[in-house]
Amino acid sequence: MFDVATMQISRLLPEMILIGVALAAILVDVMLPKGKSTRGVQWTVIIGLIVVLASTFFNRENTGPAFGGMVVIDGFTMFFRLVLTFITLLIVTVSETYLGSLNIRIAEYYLLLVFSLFGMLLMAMAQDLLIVFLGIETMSVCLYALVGMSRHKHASNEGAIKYFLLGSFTTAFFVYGIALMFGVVGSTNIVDIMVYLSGVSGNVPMLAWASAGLILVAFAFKAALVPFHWWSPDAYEGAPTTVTAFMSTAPKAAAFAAFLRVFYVAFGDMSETWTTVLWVIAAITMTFGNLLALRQDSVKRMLAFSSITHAGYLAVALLTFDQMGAAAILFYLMIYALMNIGAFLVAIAVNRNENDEKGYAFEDYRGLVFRKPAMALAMLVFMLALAGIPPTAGFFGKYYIFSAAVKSGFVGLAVIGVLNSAVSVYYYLRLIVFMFLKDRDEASETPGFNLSGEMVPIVIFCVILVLLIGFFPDALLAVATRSVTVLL
Amino acid sequence: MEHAAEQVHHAADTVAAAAAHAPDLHYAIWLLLFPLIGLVVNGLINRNWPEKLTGWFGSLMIIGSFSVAVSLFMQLLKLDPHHRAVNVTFFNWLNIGGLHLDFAFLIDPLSVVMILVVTGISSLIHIYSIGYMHGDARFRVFFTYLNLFVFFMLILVLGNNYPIMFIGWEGVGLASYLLIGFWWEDMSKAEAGMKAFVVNRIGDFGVLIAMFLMFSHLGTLTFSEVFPAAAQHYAHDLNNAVIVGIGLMLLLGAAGKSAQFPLYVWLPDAMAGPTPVSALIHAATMVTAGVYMIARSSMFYVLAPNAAWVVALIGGFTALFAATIGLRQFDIKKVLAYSTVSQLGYMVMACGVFAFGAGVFHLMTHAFFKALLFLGSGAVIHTMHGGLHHVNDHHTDPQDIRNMGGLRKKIPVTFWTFLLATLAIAGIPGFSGFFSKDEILAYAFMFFKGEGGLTILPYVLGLVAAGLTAFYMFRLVYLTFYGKYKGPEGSEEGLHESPAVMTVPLMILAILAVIGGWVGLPPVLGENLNKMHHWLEPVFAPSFEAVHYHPEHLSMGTEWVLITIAVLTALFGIGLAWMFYIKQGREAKPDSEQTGFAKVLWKKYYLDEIYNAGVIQPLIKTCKFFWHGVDEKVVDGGMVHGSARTVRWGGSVLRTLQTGVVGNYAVLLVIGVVAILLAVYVR
Amino acid sequence: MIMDLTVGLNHYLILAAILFAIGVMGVLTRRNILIIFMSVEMMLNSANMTLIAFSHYLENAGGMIFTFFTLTVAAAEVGVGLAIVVTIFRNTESLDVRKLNLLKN
Repeated sequence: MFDVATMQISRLLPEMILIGVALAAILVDVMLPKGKSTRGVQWTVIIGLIVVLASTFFNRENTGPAFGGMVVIDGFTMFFRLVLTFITLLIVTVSETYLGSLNIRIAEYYLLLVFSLFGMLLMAMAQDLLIVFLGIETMSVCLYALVGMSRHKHASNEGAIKYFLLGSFTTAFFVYGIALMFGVVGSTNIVDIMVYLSGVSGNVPMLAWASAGLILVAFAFKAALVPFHWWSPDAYEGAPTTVTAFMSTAPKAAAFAAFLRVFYVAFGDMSETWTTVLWVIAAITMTFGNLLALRQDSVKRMLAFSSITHAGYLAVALLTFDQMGAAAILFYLMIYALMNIGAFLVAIAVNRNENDEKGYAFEDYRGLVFRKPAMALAMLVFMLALAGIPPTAGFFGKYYIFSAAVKSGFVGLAVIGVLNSAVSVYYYLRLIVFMFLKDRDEASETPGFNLSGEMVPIVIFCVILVLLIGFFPDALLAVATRSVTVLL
Repeated sequence: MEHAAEQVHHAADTVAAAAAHAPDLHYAIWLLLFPLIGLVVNGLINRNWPEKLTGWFGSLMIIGSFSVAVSLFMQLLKLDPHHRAVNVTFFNWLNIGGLHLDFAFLIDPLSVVMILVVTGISSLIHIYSIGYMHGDARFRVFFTYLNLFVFFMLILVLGNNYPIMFIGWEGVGLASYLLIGFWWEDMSKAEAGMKAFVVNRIGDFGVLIAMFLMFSHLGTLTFSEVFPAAAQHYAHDLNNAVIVGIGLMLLLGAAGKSAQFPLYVWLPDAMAGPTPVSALIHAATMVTAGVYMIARSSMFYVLAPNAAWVVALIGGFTALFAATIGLRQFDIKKVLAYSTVSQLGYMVMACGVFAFGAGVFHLMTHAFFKALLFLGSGAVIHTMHGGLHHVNDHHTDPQDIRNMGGLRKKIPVTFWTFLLATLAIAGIPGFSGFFSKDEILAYAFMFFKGEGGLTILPYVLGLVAAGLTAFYMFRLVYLTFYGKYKGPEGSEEGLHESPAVMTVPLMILAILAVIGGWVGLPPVLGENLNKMHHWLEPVFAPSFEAVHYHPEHLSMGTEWVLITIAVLTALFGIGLAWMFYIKQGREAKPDSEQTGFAKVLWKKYYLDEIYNAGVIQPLIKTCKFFWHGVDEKVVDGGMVHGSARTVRWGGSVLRTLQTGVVGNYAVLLVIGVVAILLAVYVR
Repeated sequence: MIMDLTVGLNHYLILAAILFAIGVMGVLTRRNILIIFMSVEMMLNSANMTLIAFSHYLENAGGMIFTFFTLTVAAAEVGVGLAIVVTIFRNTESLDVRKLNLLKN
């Protein structure tokens, strides 16, 4: 009965290495003297994540199901493995100095990042709702703690508890949905569900509909789609900014990975109804995020709301239920990670005082181009990319999403989306106005925290990639298109 | 679709075969590299160069581009007229999901006209700016932005497919925005100026949708493929919804960029930027991008005559409407701004009556005389500043023509060049504007002759607008340069002619404004004298051939009658202005004495107020509703301020809202869950 | 498949659904963080009950196995959740969610 060979454990080599890295990091933390240990842990994790990336790359031919079909390693999994690990690597690299400024230099920060990455990898490879559930929970439990990392700050506590309560609340819906699906199909395996649903074609029992609806809610929650997004602005604002940068990119990517796998494979036969539901969700998500982002005076909170809007764009591509839309999602997730992380890093650098309630104000950017021209230029690139203005990668991201929508006949939604992206220019541009068109106000200027040495290469890297993908988007899109073939 | 793609490929092969004999034009990339070098050097490397060096360096880079443009023009001249379309491919740019795009230039008669105008005018304006911006603290930044603008403008007109054009399209928008905001110091103005960018985004949205439609129905976005494909599919299905949609969406884009009704509102505000910027971007080049795009997409409009008719009406209406506003403006730059809107309307209208060549011709002559008018107005403002500075007056508006008068004697070079440009825009025979305007009116009349009925409208609108233009332009000249000086006491001593870096470009432009139209002489003067028409013909010929469109022919007699009517109209306008402002010596009234229709005109039909009340305020209210209403009141306020109040209300539903922040979030979340379950239930 | 189930299963399912609804109402109406938390646990356990009921009647152990995982995950959530609750209590000396309104628009 128990046969190691059929488990195909070698296909999960990167994940095993990842767990090894976490364990090694714990040991490093214990062995090094206090005060120096976090640096050691950080380096251990950096090297470990690079090894994970390398092992993913060299192990790329070893595809197929593992653990008796509970998980599947295919092109889709590979894509998310690389993207998610890469995002985590960026965040780990830039965290140390920033954590020092918050007085929360603790090794557990890195461990939590690694474990949440593990959860996200499970979500990307899951072929069973049980694994999706375990992945979501592993990720979320780590994120709750990460949001509350600044233990002495009320905002951090508050963001954490809101996220935690609403997150576990949604988990209950999710489990209930899975339970109903189990009752209907007799299995929680995604392939079994697909076979069952296509078998009863057109005559899907009501319980299965309810179950799929509840599962949709859970994914929409993690992806921060309106009206399930309520936690996200508060959690994003309360969390340490590196965590915000992480949360607005990686978990969102993982949520869409699971969303795609479950809805395209398992619920593919129900796509017509989900298209309608997602149409409404996408339209209100884009609009809601935009209208609130317009009114923010804090760059951090503006980015939090804009992140909701971007989730709305992704939902537009999601509801096409075709290859072009799925590929557009993968493409957009990658470039969104680059531009958003870049923007948050510059925001960290410009912010004068973490403990100031008025932190991250637009006012701090007054005349930035005269003080720190390179930083202002980098922020300009990120803002233009987020606004979707060519020749940055952001333009092609939106272009693919909306042309996928038009191609599938959702012209109305594409119109709403393009109009929304026109509105969004307003608040991104507002920051550009502050940076480039306003004179500096020397009286109120404080030196700011500055880009620490480790952040500089990452910001430059993000700028280069955002522009490079903007000029040559087809390599990434080709990879994305190949990765989604397994879904359809 | 498969079959069509094959045909398109075949067509592309033929083009490639022709290209085999074409000269190697890859050096065209230097058109872009020069401004790029200028912008990198001035933007990043240049730290403390002296002003002169910075300015001349930036200018030389543009002159470099201009010489490349001239050389490309020579190269095309050597080719057979029907092979004057050279695709210069640099690399394969995108290749995904059936969309194949190269990073490539299309060097053809149309793009060559555009690059000559863009680089030529830019060179002159760069040089002029060395004098105009003298002493500005951000001199270096100004030249960086100017080079950035030229860079994107050239991408816009050179790209051989819509996405590349769109990159330039967005880029010039950004550069223009940075330059408009160049002198803004306080927040309110900066935010108001976002109008330019946001209005333009509405237009961009049209272009995007048009591209989506093209891609999904024609499968390509490259000019040399998409037009034949459109012709093949829709030549026997005129006014198909898809093509009409593409045409109207492109018109929306053009209306944003080229300031057509109702999206023109940003252009007069854009005059807040430095005057050279108004001359270059908001008169001569960027605002003509929309006209360029419509002319480039001529195929779609001949295939969708209904869309073209809308183009003609919007253009004609804009021409007339803006001219009436121009009648009553007192700010010298505002008069010119509305006149630009009006002239752009002319060009758009020309495209609407299938006179694409005439539209582009007017685009060129307009670039000469309007750039000259703006630079001249800049020189006037410069002079007025000098005068006001002389008496330490910082309250009098140096741009208000009610403070000018009699400047003719003080600044003769500016006066004479300004007068020549005014004669050109008024359509006096012999000057450049006359020939292009006449050609447009002739085509509009031909269009009427062919279609009959209401299609007389474009001609009438154009003719009336021409008369009004002559009137308000001469009103401007008389009030500014004739009569008595009306500025503050003593400031007269401080009025001086501008330096040579400013006056020499004026003189060069003046020559162009006079002779620039001689490349397109009307048929009444002899056969084959309209060089411009023949030069552009191969660009538009495939469109006309696709639908076998042949414009009506006009007899010599009709031509002469049309010319006479146009000239008389212009002379009538000038005469009226002469009678009012010279013979009767009328003076413009101060703001408080404006009454009746004149006041309506002066207030620009109150459109800004209507926009504010009808569009902007409701938008702000909606935002406030979501901000204060939904998120603050329902979500957070429900707990903080609302708890006491809602207890009194005691409603059972509201009770759930008052429990707390997370509780309220949870309520809204559950409402979402219920909505989804209901949706699948009623499915 | 559901059609030929015995009445017994439906009893279980309805009981679980009622428990689930009570849990939802608890989350919606309570203001003490711990009680909200317990309501969530109740929802989770009603889902577990559904799983086990199905598992028993379908004679498929999958549902019961799933329940083990749910329980474990719930325990982990409790661990992190209580840690957050403790820090909040230290900072504000209150467990009332109404008092957590620093972050808002």
